[in-house]
Amino acid sequence: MYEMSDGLLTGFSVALSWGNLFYCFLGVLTGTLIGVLPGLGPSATISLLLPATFYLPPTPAIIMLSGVYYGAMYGGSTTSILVNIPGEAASVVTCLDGYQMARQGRAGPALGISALGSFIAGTIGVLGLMIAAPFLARFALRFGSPEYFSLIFMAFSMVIYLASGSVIKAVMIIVLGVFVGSIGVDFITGDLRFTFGSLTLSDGVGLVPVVMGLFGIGEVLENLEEETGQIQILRTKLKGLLPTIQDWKDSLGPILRGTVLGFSLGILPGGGAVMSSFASYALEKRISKHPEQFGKGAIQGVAGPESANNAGSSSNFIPLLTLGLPCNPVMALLLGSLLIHGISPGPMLIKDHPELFWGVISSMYIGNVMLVLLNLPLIGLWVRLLSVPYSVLFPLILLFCLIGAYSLNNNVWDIIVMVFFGIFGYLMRKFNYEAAPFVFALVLSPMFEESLRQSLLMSEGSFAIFFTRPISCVLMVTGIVLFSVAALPWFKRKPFRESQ
Amino acid sequence: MKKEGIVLAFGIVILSAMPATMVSAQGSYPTRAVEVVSPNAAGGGLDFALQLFKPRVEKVLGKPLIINYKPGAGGIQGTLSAKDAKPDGYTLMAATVSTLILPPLTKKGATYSLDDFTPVCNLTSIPLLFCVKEDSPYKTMEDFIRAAKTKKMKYATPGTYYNVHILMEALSRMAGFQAIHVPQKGTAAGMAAVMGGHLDMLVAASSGQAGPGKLRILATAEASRLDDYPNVSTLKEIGYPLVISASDSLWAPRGVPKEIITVLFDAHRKAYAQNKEEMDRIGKTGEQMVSILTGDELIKVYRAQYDFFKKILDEMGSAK
Repeated sequence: MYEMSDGLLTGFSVALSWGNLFYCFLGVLTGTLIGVLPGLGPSATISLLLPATFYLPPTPAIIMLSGVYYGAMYGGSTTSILVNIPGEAASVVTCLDGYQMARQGRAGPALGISALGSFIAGTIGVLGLMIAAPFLARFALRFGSPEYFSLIFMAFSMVIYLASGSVIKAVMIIVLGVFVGSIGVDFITGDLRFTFGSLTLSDGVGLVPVVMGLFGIGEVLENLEEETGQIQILRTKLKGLLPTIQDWKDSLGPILRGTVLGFSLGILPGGGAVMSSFASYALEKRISKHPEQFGKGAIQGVAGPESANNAGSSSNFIPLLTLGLPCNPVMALLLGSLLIHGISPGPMLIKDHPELFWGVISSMYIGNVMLVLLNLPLIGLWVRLLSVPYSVLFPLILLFCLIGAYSLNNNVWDIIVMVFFGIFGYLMRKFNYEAAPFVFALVLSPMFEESLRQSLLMSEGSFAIFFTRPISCVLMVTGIVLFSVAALPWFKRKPFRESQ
Repeated sequence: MKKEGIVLAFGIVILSAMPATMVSAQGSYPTRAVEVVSPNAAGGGLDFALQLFKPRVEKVLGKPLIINYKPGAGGIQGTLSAKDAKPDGYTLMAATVSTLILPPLTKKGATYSLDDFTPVCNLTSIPLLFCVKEDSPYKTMEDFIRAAKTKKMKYATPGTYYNVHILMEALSRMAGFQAIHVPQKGTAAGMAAVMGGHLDMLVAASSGQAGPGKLRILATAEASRLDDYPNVSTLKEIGYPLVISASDSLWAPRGVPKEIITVLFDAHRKAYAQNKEEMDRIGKTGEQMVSILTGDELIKVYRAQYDFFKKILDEMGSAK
């Protein structure tokens, strides 16, 4: 305990120097901006900024780059809420209820709750990082392939809650998502699957072009059906810019639950953060007394996932800083930046470079404060964007999507994938299929397959491995129970009745 | 007034563009920025080597180097685009064994070979390491191999048909043991699996595995012992003559004039000579060793590796 308060003192004295405050601000500002631009994600930005940071001392460099990362997580919800374009997988779920809130004139509360929820989650996340980082990291190492498999199995058992309409259609779309997720190199044998000789497809179907197509382009196409001149995102008048007391009452639980969920999944060195926003949404819908409101503008559906997302972006740092293990591409870039400064992160980092470890953590707290101060005044501005005539807005949305898709890999094929899934998304809307379960399956099925096959290699083919290892067994059994609970009412209500 | 301004602007543009078109390419190369296509994404090991050289080489060349990242299909996308570039010396290509040698051996669509490129300069060399958990009962590589003959070991690599996977296959054939390959998505994932005790060994290029609280190195595939780990034996000295390293290198499309290659090589050699201490120090922290090799030496090393990998892959029966 003494060590921690001592560390914090060091940390804040480092983070509060004018220079570091400046780099922190620069980082979160850049992060917010690229979070708002669809397609341009934190990993692209950080790799662009990386060479510039070689000329800085390590602490301000990492402070700035981390700022870009959690700033982008913060800003990513803006376009999801306003125009239904998720910039990355994590903000897909924010579209579901956030965009509906915007259409009902409640864009302000939606943006407000995601900003403040993110702040609360980020702050708790940073606290957790300070108190428990080394211990948690050691624990997280107990997750091997069988544990990941059981975890993803558990997540899959909740996917049905992502759908608000027909269950049978959701299952069909999940299967399709699993198929699209299997395109590319079979990573165990090195064989190509469903690539038809295309080099681009051998990397699999890129997630970001898919979500921008399904949500953003699909939405634009659907809106164009209405008579031009009459289309408006807003269905009613604007109502308030900030969350009301009732909104807070509804959101506090989801924020806290989302924080815990996001923080826990973010620690896993093999990467679990993508699951957290989906899991939080499913959880909130499962325990809500009014699950039918989800997908129609429930504030809980914005508050929970957004908090999960941000808590995860703090705990993502734990495996990197304490074990030297990057759990996602952004953390790998930060590792690269640390290495070029001659610092090899690992268990000795806190002892060898306390100013760096504590300085970066303290700066994350300060960065979270800056983000709230930066984002709250912007809400008024963003909301006014919605009153721009749609005939002006939609070409701009398309333009930003095109630029965003191309900027991913400097590859035209990403644009083609986006356009394809835009048309696909439009057709899905026409026939009442939902996009969220598809994205969920697309994200998780490659991880599902990978961990399953690794586990079976480890056990030389025996499925018992999922039940003989304690953590895996608990997750597996929980998954089976959850699945039964979800499936039971559906079987009782036979024949498969479409609930909508 | 406005018109005149435009004419003037045009004039300036044309005048400033003149030297580039008029002076012959060889005479004063480079006259403009040089593009380096990187077939791997920013932030990885190859990028580390490029960034290490970039500012220092720019100073010598007097013109900027622009790194153009074209990742995709395990390096094939970027390599193909560099192969088709104009051989005027203004488009170069960064490469590793994994982007230049292995794809043509293991993947469809990698329609290139070493002959399509002219070697410029080797930049860095990265040792390949065999690591176990810090508290593993195996203290030496001999211990491990002895145990592997009675018990099926499970080992991690960053992926199927990576250089380290083929190396481990070669070793197991030579030493007469069978081990189960559990490929991971990248070195970090493999480290986590071995640190957590889920797998027995990680075979990977050096990138921060070793250190207190992390992994213990049992052996390297270097020709001689590493300065930083004098207690770690080489495969060669325990009786398995497998000497192989990863390397980051610079190439040009075939047909670039020899004079230009010489300018580029000299720039790299000079940049290193001028900043030797600093570059060695930074290189070491990124676990890479700066290793300037001439084009001739470079292609010899890559050809030898090509033959080695081809032989083992044929034995493994992995026709692409």
